[in-house]
Formats: sequence, structure tokens, C-alpha cells
Amino acid sequence: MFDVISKLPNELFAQIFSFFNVFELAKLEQVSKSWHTMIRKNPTLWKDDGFDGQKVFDVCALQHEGKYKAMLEKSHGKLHRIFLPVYLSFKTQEEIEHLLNHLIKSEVQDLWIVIRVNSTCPDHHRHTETDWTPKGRYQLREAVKTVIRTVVQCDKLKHLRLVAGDRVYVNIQDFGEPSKWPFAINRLRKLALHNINYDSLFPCEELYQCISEVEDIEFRSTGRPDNVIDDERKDIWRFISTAKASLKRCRVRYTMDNRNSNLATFTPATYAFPQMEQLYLSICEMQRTSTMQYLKCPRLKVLHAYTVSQHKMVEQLLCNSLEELHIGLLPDEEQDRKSVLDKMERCTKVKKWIIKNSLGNADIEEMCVRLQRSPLEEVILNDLSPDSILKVKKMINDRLSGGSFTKIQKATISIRKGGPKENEWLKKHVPKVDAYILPDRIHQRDALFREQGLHYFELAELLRS
Amino acid sequence: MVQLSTSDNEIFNVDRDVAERSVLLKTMLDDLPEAEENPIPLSNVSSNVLKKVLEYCAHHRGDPAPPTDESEESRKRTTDIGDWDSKFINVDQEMLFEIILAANYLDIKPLLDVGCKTVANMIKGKTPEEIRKLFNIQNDFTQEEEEQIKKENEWAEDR
Repeated sequence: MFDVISKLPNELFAQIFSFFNVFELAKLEQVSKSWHTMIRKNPTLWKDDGFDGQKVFDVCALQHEGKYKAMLEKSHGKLHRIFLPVYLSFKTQEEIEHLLNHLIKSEVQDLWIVIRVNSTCPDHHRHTETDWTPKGRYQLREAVKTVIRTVVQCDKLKHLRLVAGDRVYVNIQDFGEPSKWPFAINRLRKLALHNINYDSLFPCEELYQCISEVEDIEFRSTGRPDNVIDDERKDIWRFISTAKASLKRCRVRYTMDNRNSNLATFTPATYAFPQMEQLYLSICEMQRTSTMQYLKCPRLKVLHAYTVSQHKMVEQLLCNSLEELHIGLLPDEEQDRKSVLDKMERCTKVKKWIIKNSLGNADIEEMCVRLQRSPLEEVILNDLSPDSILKVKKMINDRLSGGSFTKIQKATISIRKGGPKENEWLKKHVPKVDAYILPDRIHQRDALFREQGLHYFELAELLRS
Repeated sequence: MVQLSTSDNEIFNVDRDVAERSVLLKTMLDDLPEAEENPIPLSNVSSNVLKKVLEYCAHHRGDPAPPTDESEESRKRTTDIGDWDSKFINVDQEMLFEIILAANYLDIKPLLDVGCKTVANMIKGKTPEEIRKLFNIQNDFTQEEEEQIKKENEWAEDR
């Protein structure tokens, strides 16, 4: 059999792909080079999508400017959700500004803007085109500023998600005059910033007002900061704590290389979030002893701390309201390690436990001991080695006979589709299950897992047998 | 009756209204009266494919003509396929693609639509890896290229 789809003439290929929305198309591009070319070179495929006249409007790239305007006008204020990717290589700042101005008059409540330097547009696209030149960075920063100045004028805005292609620093001046921020009155409920640096936002009272009722917050920034800023400003929690009374869900993910900074200026701080229920942390600081922040979340139900180097922070968060727990890393120092483990004994309501391959067998075993009073219902084994999987199995089985963990109903094992050896092993030890390949994006960063996808197994038998 | 001759030189006798499901044949028959006497050569279509296509045309012979200039806006973005059609199109991949090509060549819009929808349905909801497997597609990206595309398409994740 041969690859029939790629052999189809372009117009037929386009017809088949006209049944997919922009989100699906983005995924289909990843299939092969010819798919990628054919999908990207077809501007008709990348049109607005999912617009049902009431709720959602996705416009991909700004090449369909006319359509975008018409949609905004036609919607008569019914449009409340807009997804808007901005590709800088074929739009000038004026054009972007002009387009965004239409948003101000709209009644948009949910706005999701992605700004990229390189283009995904037909004829403009070249893959290696990532523009790291000062000009490219400047363009990106200017676009982000334009977007920010616009969105603060959308007075119905409740959800804002802003994604920049590369890390961008913004100042409060970039927001324009605070008296022109109608959205401050309405107050955001949900805020997500990716690669938009919050550092310089601290001194602004007006901005604090805008986010003081946020329930869901997400900050993600990747890569190293390219300038050193003082430590006081790095305290992301100070910014987040503006919404302390309302915040229910928080996702923070960043890597910080603060080896060069002056630590003496930083004062430890404690922030309390009385309503917080879900906390997802992935914080990696190169210098571990640096910023000491403590979070108090007495109602926390879900805690995911994948690579949190601040073990004191994690320690504080281990409380008896937790129902879902994922600790990806234990401290190296024996004393610190013991201290975190001991705090785990407080968690007597954990129903779901996620174990990742960053933990060694000894770590897993000790955690298992600490959690044995919990009414565990589900265990998720993430990329564990066969050895560790068997170890977990044995540990749980041992305790089952002692009366602990009798409520476990479900175990999910996700492992890399490593090769014939791993598959052989799984066939032998996990004979009954059907393999299901998870979306490969889970490990998109790790070169080892590329190509492979994942095998995903769902079984309680393995642990029980 | 109209005579059609396939790439492998088989002659098919079909009723005119069945043949006219194909816009190409309809135009030929309207424009060239002598076409009724001589077999029309269809050099792009083999007999086993034509047989299938004619089966479709015969079943749909009474259907009202589809609107000629269906605008992009009004075109329904649905992948629903009727019962008979979905049974009809339940063929192996190679045949499916032959039918699509033939429907395109013969200009039988509804059939082309059924074919394309079927392929779209096969793709829907699958991961790139599953799609490669399904259609026997080689992943010809370098690791860097694949990484780059995924990075660019991050916005489409988590939805």
C-alpha cells in the first residue's frame, strides 16, 4: 500500500481538509512534509472557523481581514469569544492596530490572542524563519504592546489569554492611560499570560484592581530572562496575591536562572489564598535557596508540583484537604527530604496519586508508606521504568493485604513506546489491555520521545494481580 | 442508452439519466449528439471503478440536481453521510481513492463529497502518528523540523 492521500491532486486534498477546523489542521500539519506543505499553502483552509453566530469566532492569521471585520460587525455584540493569531512577518504595526480596534467596539468577553514572529501564512512561510534579530524582537514587543493597549479597552472582557512567541517584557506604560481602561471596572475572571513578563507590572495599583477578582490565573514563561531584574520583582506571588480572595485555580510555570542576582535584597513572604482549590506548579530556579515564598492554601484539593525546587513551598502546601497529589521531585538534602516526606502524612484524603519518573524507587517507596492511610482510588504512573512499575505494584499489593489501599479502582500506566523490548515487557505483564497512543505532544520537548508517541494503559488488574 | 469505454477497454451500457449524473458526460452528450452512437472513452477510469461509480449513479438517478454554485458560506461543514452512501463507500482505501479521483474526473459532485467526507472521517480525532499508520505515510520530518512545527502550533493545544 502506498500513501494515497499525498498522491491526490491539490484541489481534492483541499476538499478533504475543508472539513477540519484550524485547530485540527494545526495537528494535521505534523503528519508529513507533503501534508504540511499542502495544508499551509491552502489559504482557503485557514479561514475563520467554529463561528456559530453566538459563541465562538476563530480567525486564523490576519490575511482574512475582511472576513474578520464582517464577522465582528455581523455579530451584533453576540460574539463573545475570539481566537486571534497574529503573524508578524506579514503585518505592520499599523495594520495590527487597525484590526484590533474593531475589538474595542465588540462585546468580546473571552479573548485569546497569539502573537508570533514567524508566519504560518501561505507564501510567507519558511520554517527556519524564526526571527531573533533585534528587529524581530522589537516587532514582537511592539505587537504585544498594541494588543495590551487594545484589550484594556474592551470593557466586557472577562477572560484574557495572551500568548507571545518569545519572551516579552512589558511595562505599565505599555497599557496606556489607566483612565482608558474600561475593563478594570468589569474585572477579569480568568487571566493567562504566556511569555509575557509580569516583572514590571508590580507597582501598578490600577492593574491590581483589574485582576482583583480573578478566579483562574495562568503564567507560563519559557527560556531564560535576558536581563537581570531585581529580586523583589521576581516574586510572582505578590502579583498573584492581588486576587487572593477570589483565586481558585492557579497554574504557574517558569524557569529562572538567578545565579547572578543579589539575593540579600529579597525578603521572605507568605501569601494566603483562602479559596484556592487547584495549584499546578512547575518552578525551576537555578539557585535554590533564593526566593523564599510560602503559600497558604487551606482548601487546596489538587496539588501538582512537578519540578519545584522550592521544597519549603511544597512542604507548606501539603495539607489534609488534598485529594489529588503529584510531587515530581524530592529535595537532595536528607533533612529536607525527610521533612517533605513527613508532611505527606498530613494528607489523609488523597484519592489520586501521580507518580513520575523523576522519582527514584526509594522516593516512591517512602511516599507510599506516608500515604497508606489515604483512601487512594487511582494511581497514575507516568513514564516509570518497568522496574519501578513492578516495584509500585508490589508495594501496593503488600499493603492491600494489610488493609491499606483497598479502594484503588483504577491505575493508569503511561509509558514511552520505547521499542520492541518495552512492548514485549508490557505484553507479558499487562496482557489484557488495548494500547492507545496518547497525543505525542506530551513529550514534545524530549528528543528521546519524539517519533514514539506513548502507550497508555488503563488497568486496575496489574496492581491487584 | 449510452456506451462508456474504460481504460481497460471494457464497454458499459448505461441509461442516459444514469450517465448524466456525471456533469462531464452530460455536457458531452448535450454538445456532441454523435456521442450517443459511439462509446465514450474514459481513459482515466478502470472498469472495476466505473462499475462502482455507476452503481452510485444508478441509485441516485432520481435525485434533484445539486445547486450549481453552492457558495462556500452555505456549504455545510458536516461529515454526515447517508445510510446507503456510507454502505456504498465502505471499500478498501485504494478503491476509495480511485472513486474520489473518478468522481472528480467525471464531475459527480455528490459522490466526490461522500468520498472526501469519508476520508475526513477516517482522519478525524486521530493523532499524527495514528494517521501515518492508517495511510502508511512516512514521517519525513527531521527532529528539528518536527519540534519547530509543534512549537508553532502550540496555540492549538489544550483545547
